[in-house]
Amino acid sequence: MKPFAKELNRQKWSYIFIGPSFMIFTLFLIIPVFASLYWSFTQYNILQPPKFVGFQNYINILFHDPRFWKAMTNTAIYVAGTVPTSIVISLALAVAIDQNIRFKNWFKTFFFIPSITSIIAISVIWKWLYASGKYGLFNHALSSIGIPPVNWLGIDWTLPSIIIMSVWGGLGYNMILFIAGLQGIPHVFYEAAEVDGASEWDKFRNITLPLLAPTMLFVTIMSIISAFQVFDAVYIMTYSSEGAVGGALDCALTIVAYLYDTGFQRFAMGYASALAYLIFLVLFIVTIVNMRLVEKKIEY
Amino acid sequence: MRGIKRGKAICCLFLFFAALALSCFSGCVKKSSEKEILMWLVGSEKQAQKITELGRDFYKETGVKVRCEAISWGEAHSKYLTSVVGEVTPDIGTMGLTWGTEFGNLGAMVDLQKAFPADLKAIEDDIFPGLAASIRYKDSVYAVPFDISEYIMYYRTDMIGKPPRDWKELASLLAELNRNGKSMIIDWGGLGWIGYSPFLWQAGGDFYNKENTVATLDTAAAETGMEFFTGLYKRYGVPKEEKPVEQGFKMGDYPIFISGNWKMKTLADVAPEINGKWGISQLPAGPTGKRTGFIGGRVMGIFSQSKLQNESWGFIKYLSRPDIQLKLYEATLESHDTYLPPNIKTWDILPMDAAFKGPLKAQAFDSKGPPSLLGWDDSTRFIDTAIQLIVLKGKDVEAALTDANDELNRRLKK
Repeated sequence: MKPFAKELNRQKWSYIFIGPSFMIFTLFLIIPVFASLYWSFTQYNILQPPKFVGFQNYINILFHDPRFWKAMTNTAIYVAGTVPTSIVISLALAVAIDQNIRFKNWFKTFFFIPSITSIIAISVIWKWLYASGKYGLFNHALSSIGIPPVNWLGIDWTLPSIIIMSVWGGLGYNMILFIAGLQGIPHVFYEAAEVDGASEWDKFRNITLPLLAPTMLFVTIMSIISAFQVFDAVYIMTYSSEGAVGGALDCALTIVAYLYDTGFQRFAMGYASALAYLIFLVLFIVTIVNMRLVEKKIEY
Repeated sequence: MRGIKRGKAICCLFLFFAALALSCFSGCVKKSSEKEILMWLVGSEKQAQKITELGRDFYKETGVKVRCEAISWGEAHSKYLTSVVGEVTPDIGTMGLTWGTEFGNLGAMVDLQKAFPADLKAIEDDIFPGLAASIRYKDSVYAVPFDISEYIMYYRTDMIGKPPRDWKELASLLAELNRNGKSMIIDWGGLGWIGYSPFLWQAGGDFYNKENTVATLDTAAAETGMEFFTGLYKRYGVPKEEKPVEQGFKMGDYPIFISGNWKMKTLADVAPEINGKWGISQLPAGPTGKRTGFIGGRVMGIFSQSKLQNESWGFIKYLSRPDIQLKLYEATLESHDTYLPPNIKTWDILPMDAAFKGPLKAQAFDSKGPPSLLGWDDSTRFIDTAIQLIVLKGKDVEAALTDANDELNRRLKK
């Protein structure tokens, strides 16, 4: 028997067992990824066969589509609004919970609940909290301390409102990751620092932060990727009875919401595929830059 | 050795389950000799059940079975499209008013005008004229109405003596309400083309010319309609963002609002405290004296891939009969659905309070649907943008309408 066939024979049970998941993976992930790469060079409305148009979709998106740039700007604002805020707050929570405090697990559960709740359910509740005039709970609270009601879901506030909700919703997940990272830091470093008379702040800055860098990198990259792909929250908060997504004058149209609108509302699948590849490209670059920037500073 | 034995056992088990699954699958697709129509309904499970139930009577009459499955509005459009591509369409599909034309043009639906001209005429003669115009695309009709949704004005009878009959009365009523910190809500399609369309029509304008070949938003009538519609937001405090309508209406902050007929049901459900304290009325008349409203609703058509086209048409005719529509309406009285019959004759026997039936019927007679042309769904956002720019950014009405008109014309040429 040839060595390859022999090896294959030796591993056959492994291959049989990974077979089903490999098939599902190929069928629902690999094939669609390449199919949509092809479609991004075509004009395609699902019902009629795709028509090859070369780079026309990409050219149209980049040079003749103000909605794309509006969506990109909104997405950048959303990422800049959610990622740093969420990291700072969840790190603070993680450090606080990592101390020897009472009801530690209770707090962990409490902060983690939003992460396991459906974002749709969260959005619906928050939409109610944000209701305009005197109807929403937030405005009710504001008016009780003498602040005039904020038009939370009006043209100027929709995006910030979604950012606030997302920061709240994503805290728990990041916090758990940070707690895990914190617990991986050997205690001896802190003891040594204490012997040297370091303050709490010194310990945090010179031990915790540098040793938490791998976790930080992971959390940052994952947060950026998921923030970049925000959709459900935008959809629920801005969906109108006429089927438009993104709010008045596209005030909260993010890039994936735009992709949805193009692909699944207007069925311009070729154009939507090109959009998807541009999103992928941006995320890829952001991730590479992020890794390069942080990698040098990581001390394992 | 033991490893191999265990492996064989697992393999046998795997094959057993595979065989089981396969036999189940072939059992499912096994065709019985009886004909069965599959219908998809965008709407609730309860309504689908009711239709399946009505299908049993249809079976007694014709020997053809009917099964109706509910699909949700959110996924309906893509579900229909994928079913067409995957060649697994139902026989009958109910869908949004404009989809029939869209799918029909792509060859996915049976042209009822060609297939059943005489029957179609009988149905068309009995439905509200605005709907009849909306389902016809050039010389084709791909779907007929299943039900209607229409614009109607709601008002608190205990706070507003008489509902406004024309724009002038509406303006003075709003000015008076404003003095007490109250206003009106435009709920269905506010700050969008649906909200604007009644005012456009009441002013004597339209989105396109009669032949649907040129956009006509640059006309004086379109401007008059837009001026008044956007003025409601800019001058009379109509809220620019979504408000909880039922709550505002109940509390009296917004004792008047314009919305779809389904709010009659929700008001009765969520604000029972004000039962008997509110009424409905036709929309106020514009300068032309017309009180035209917007009409939409679900339509039903037959997919070209169906092998039971004649039988399906039989069931569509059955669902268009007044006595059957009456049963559908009665079923919604107990459930949370809404259903208003599209057949005018059904309205003569509809067991509804006259105070509601009168305005609803009158409004349905004076209502229009969305323009019946391809690419309309892609054009609406330019009208929405024009409205939002005027109201939110103070853009000049004429300039905004000219821009939207240009975009609409550009899409007509595509």
